[in-house]
Amino acid sequence: MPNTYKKVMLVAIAASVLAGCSSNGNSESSVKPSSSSSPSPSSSSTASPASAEASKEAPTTLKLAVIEMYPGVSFDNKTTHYIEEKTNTKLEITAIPGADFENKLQIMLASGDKPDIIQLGTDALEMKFTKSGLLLPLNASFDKTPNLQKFGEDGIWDAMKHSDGNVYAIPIRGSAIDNIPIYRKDWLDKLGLKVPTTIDEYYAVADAFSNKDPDGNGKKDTYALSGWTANGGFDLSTSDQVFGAYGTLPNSWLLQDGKLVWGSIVPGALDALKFLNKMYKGKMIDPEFVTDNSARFKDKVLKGVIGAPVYRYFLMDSSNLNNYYEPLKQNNPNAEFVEGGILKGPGDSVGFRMLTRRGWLKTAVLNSSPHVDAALRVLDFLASDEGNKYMNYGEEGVDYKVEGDLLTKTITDDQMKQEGIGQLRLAFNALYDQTSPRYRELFDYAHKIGYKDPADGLVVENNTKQVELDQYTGQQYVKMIMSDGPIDNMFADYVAEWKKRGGDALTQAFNDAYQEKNKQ
Amino acid sequence: METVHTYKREEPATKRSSRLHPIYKDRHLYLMLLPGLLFFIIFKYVPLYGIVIAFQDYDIFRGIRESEWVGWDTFKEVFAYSDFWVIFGNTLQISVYKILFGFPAPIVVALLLNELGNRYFKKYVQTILYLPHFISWVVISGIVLTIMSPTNGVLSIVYEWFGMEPKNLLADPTAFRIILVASDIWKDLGWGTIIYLAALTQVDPSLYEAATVDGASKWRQTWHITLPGIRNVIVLLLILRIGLLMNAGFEQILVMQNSAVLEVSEILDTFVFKFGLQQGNYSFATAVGLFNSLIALVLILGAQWISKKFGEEGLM
Repeated sequence: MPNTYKKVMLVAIAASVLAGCSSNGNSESSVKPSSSSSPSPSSSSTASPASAEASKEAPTTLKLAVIEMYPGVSFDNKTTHYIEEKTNTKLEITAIPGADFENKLQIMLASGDKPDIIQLGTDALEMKFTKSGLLLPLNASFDKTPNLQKFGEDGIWDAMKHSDGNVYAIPIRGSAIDNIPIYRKDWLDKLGLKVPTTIDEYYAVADAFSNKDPDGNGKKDTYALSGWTANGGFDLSTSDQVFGAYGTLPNSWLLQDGKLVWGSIVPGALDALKFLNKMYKGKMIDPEFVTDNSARFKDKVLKGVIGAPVYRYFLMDSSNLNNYYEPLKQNNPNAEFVEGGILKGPGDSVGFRMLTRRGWLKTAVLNSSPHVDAALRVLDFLASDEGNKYMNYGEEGVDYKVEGDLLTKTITDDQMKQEGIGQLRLAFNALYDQTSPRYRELFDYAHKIGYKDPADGLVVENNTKQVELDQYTGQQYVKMIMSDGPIDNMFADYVAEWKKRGGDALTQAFNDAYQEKNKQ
Repeated sequence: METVHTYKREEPATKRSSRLHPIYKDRHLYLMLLPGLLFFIIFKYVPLYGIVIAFQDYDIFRGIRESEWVGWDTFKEVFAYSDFWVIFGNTLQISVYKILFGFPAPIVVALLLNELGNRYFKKYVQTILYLPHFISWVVISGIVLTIMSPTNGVLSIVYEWFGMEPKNLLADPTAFRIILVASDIWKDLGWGTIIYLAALTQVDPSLYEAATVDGASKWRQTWHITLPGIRNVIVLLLILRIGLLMNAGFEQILVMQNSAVLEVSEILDTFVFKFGLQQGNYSFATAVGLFNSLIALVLILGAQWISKKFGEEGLM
């Protein structure tokens, strides 16, 4: 007995020291999950397991955990009440802030707080949830939800389909491409240059933009290119025109001879990196490209520091919600951007990165929900023309007016947020009725020069290595762009290490999924 | 059996009542201890149960009870992880630098402040030195970024004075470590002097008088009177600091690092946060955290043992 007692004491002492050590720091991670339980927002809704027919009289209470679209704006507004009225429901909405969104959602679910409808972002989490059997197959009840079925008929449901043939999540739909090559038109005019069409012309423009003082202030303070870091990973998309000219897109799949190849490791990527390295040495890339975040990058584009990146095409038109045009004009009244095309390189060029059809945000219904019918009713309504139009613009005659084929908002962006328009994007399809002819022209052009990701819509259930590999790639690419010496060996080492770290297995998995899909 | 049992039960009971007496006498003190004790039990001891996650293939939806047991597999995975030893090395290196340069700094400053004659000037300097302690790392990171910016920062102007090409020091692996250590010292330098200044007031002034009579210089007085006078405080703080060796500064590094310096700045804590929590590898994160804590335990016991060897008091 005394011996055991001693042992217990020893463990207790050791534990106390352990606890003491971690008390001051950040190792909360090591022991947190068991103790953290988020308080559930009023779980008073004890409605009996739903009978959809009976609910015609009494509204069904649904619990939703969604991403916070407008920080600080309550859901007690006109739009939410409109949905509730139309679908005979009462919505209890928990909005989770965008940062660390998925982690918080998982902790919420693990602590036993089960909403009826949830939202998620990454494919990885979708796979994890379906593996744990949490999500309801939506296609099983498509006959009861005709609008929802129509929502994804043009290939979206194919892209969302898992290997078991089921669809578990609804993607939020918008433009398939945001970024195209853009050039400062006023700078080109001033320097007597044209929008480049080949990689060599691009180099000449980049050199002039960076070293011939296009803004005329007598200082070396302009650059052709820059970049940014987000979530610990380096974003490579701002130099897609260079990679595209050499026939590749980093951190993206390419189709070569009927096989999927990872764009970061093909030989063309090395040529593009050499080109960027040369640009860096020639002071055409902002030395802060690696330390800036996306906000600072945007600021630099609007302030006139960066002249030839791949960036938002809506910089060229003021008729959109995220208006970049007016702040650009405020900073420099002469500033004007013009779109460019795919640059001709030594071989076959590829176009510009398109966004995945699987959506940056997805909505799903939990299997455990006692109100499946009501939840599907809400989603079906929001997918309908009526519901979707309301979510895009609000109430006709009050929030917007229609003249000819042009739709004009009559309220400010801020009022729009307060009224909750676009706040609850469960089955959302962005509309472009309000935009000007110029915007639509750019929209169509952007979609024309986009490179459709051949792997888009492939469901690879074991894709946990992806994030890690992309971060590793960003890190190595930055080193090669900034390198003083030759980079051939660095690239070879990087490719070997990428394969070793799980890249080969990932490529295999994606190719298997690709073959499987094309067989069907 | 029954009788024996009751007999046995009764004896310690009488014993306890006599032992209870002092506890009863100091019951108010014990009552005051209670909240602190409860805090440690509830927030520090009970969550220790979560360590079992490290030995499971933890599924957040199945919970601890239903997750599969995998023994040491998670630890094998941790040690086989391609960057683990690099990250481990970074943690030690950054932390050792911080102790090497950061630990003596407040002592030196406290000694200097102690020698200041003008009371108001002393308070003034002290207050200014404290200030950075209350600024969060996110803000400091913004300040550092603005100062270091090669395009529009203060430093770029300095570079121009010397006719040099401005460099982005935050993207330079060597410079980045220096920036880490320097900004850490700058932030907590003033705060660290408080304890030393308090300890300095405990040194007997008559010793200085005697030394002055004996003709000892200021330097001699510092070496032979002041430093020995605060030696026990220094040793105590050093032991505590060594216990925190594995915490190389999570917040600071997370907000300041970028892809170009990731290889020299990724530490265990930032790695656990990114790989473990953000990507949902809870078992992995717990295993790394446990490994981290074990090293800290060994370090703190080692430092304690050494200080006892040298005749100091230590922690226990």
